[in-house]
Amino acid sequence: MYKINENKMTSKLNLVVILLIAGLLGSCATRKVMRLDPNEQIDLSGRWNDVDSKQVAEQMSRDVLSKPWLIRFEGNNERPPVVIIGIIINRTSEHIEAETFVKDVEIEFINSGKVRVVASDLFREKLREEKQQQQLNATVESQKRIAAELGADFMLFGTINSTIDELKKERVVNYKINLELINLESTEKVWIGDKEIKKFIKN
Amino acid sequence: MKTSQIFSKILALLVLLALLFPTNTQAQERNKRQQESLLSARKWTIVTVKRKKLGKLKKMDGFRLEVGNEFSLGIDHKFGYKNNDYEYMSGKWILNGKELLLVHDARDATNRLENTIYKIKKLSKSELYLKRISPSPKGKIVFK
Repeated sequence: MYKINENKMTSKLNLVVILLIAGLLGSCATRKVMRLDPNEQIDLSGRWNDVDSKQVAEQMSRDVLSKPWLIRFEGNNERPPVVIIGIIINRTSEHIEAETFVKDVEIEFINSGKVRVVASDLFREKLREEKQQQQLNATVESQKRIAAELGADFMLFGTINSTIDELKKERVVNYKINLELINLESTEKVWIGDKEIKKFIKN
Repeated sequence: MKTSQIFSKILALLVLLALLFPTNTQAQERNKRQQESLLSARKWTIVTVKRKKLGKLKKMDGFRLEVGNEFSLGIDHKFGYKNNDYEYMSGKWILNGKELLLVHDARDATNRLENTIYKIKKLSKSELYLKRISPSPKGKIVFK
């Protein structure tokens, strides 16, 4: 009887020791976290990343705002053009969030003061709903007028394509981003910009 | 000295030159690649501008350059420039020895291309020092 109790005690003690060791080992496996400069270039997998997105936004916005279509439009109309950001189609096999660089292009457009930007269709629907609500619920002085939106002169479209060439452990990926600015009334393409990013990945 | 000896010396010299020439070309190519990768590694911001002649509008070729302007050169040899007036310049860049050639649109409604030539005085990971050669007014620009 005494021996059985002693065995039970030993097995319990062993379990406690094992749990303690496991806990200690678990606490030893540290996680390292560092704050980094968002502009720092870090490539891990070789896939599309934030650096590519920033480079595309920067180059595209500088290119579109430096071309003659802008001076011509201002000369003819004596006002800055109104632009709407349309669809950017991702034709690559990767998931690419086009919104990240499109937002940067929009920021550059608005901050430059050379181009006026209107909300895209999704946001417009929300704004219209809100205006409808205002007609019923807001005071007359603060109601916003229906059918008083700013019509866009140009629309920006784009595509992202990639070509992959691989052999054994080596891979070359070429991303090509095309953006086009089209006159809504005349359907004339006033600007086409492209940016290529080529990567060599060795596993 | 015998004629055969002279010939053999000339031949040896030619062989030596032939051996040295590709090495020199390779070194130049390697140096160019190094410079290009340094130039395209980061976004440059102007920290100092010195001009020889100050125009009435303190402009350099109609494109105001001042502290805080941003300049980036892509690995695909395309560049983008933004000054503090939100005026933009974009085009291609070519490295020709120590000269940096920028080919960009003329800042008007025409489709004419213009070029600006800078001499690279200093290039490191953290600093780019350019001397503007043409068009005038000449000046010195330091980027960090």
